[in-house]
Amino acid sequence: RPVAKKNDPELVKQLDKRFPALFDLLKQYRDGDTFVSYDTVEEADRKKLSDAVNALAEPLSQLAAAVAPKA
Amino acid sequence: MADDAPQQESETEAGTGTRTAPGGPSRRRLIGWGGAGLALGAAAAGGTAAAVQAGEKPSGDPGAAVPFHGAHQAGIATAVQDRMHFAAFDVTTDDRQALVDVLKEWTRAAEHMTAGRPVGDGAVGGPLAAPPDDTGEALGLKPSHLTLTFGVGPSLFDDRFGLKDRRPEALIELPAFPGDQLEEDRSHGDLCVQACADDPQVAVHAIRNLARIGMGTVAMRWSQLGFGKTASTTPKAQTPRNLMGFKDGTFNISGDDEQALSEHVWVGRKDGAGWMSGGSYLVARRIRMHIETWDRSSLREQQQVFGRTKGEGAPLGKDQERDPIDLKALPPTSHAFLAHPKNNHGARILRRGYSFTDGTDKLGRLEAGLFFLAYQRDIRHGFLPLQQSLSRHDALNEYIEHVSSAVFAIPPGVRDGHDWWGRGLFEGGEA
Repeated sequence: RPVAKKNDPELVKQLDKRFPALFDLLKQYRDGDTFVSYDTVEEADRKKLSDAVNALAEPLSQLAAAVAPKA
Repeated sequence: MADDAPQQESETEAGTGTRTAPGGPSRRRLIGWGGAGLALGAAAAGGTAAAVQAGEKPSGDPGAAVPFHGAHQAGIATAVQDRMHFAAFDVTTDDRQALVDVLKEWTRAAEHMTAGRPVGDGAVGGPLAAPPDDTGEALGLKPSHLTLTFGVGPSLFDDRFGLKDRRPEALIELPAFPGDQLEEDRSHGDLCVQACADDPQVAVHAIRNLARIGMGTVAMRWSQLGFGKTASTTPKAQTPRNLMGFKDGTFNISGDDEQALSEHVWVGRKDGAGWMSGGSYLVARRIRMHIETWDRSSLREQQQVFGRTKGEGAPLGKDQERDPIDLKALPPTSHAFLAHPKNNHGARILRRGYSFTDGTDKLGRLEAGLFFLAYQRDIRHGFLPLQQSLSRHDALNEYIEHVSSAVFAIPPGVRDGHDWWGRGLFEGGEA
């Protein structure tokens, strides 16, 4: 994380927003120690989860390059 | 170190208000990367070929680029391209600045793609450790007359972005029409992008890359692929046929007809919302055709339904396709009769739809039809009265079904590299 922060602080800011956003969304589906079964999740909610995963996955895919040693 | 030099440039160039991302490579600095992108693009994609003026017939060069900047967005009066990929998006954040940032990035990406250049660092020019900025399937492909046309839906004008009082009066929600079987998931949308190109791969590449750039701020709501233009904006060219076998769009507004365009298509200065001046309104409806039933009907019946002959496309009672229609010779329930401007207080729309065949349904029937696109200066004097009449009386209704519907306000053109899609709407100015 420190390396990423130095190389691409914008990226880190974005990840700092989108990780918690996804986890907050997931909280709604918690059932004790685990989660509710996926087949109880409605279509519209499935899309919200999918969108949140996409939102995180995109900047996350940039992370490797942000911490890679420069050529 | 080859990477450092371009980064220096972009530090200064990127001070125009987009997000700067000092340090590692990032799609966010498209403006700064324009120079590098051009070099890569020129090598890979044949560069910026001779531009075709919007509205002209396609030039001798089949792969040419259509200019992105202009008073009006391209893709409306532009000669109709062979393929389409249309996408509707929903904004998934309440963060207005994030949305504005995406619109700016989208505009810069659109400038690149319509010129045949890849987005950002390109498809292969960036560091190996990073996913490429551009997805790559358009590498080596010509611009193919790609146009990208952007619009905003009525739902964008809710409480989220402070746009409530900037909603144009003309941006109405369509009422329910008799016979509608609209699927919610395939209808509406906060934003839309219409990508048209002669090469389907170029159109798909554009939507795909815009969707990717927008992830986290906007999400794809639905999209539609179209092959086969129906309706053309170039009357001298052969009129294309729709999937019912009939020439479609004979009497359409031509891309050259400046007078008709300003009367019926472009929003005027005094029409209401100032930020829409030079824009237009789009109605997009997915119309399913009951192909198997249609194919069993007699030729006579088919011609009576449309009000034109099938082969030549002549209005019934006439010989040639472009002979003026004699309304008295047409059955009063025929499509051509009911859609005629004389029967609709002079209403005219610019049609720019595409045929679709999305495989087959569960019963093995072709999922075929027309993705109907109509541009007009005011829906209340364009599509609305037309559809009110057609939905009630058109003999064609027996063979079709409207299964999705969406309306969008299409802003005026992006003027230059500092302008961006929706700037007039978001930056205040003329309300």
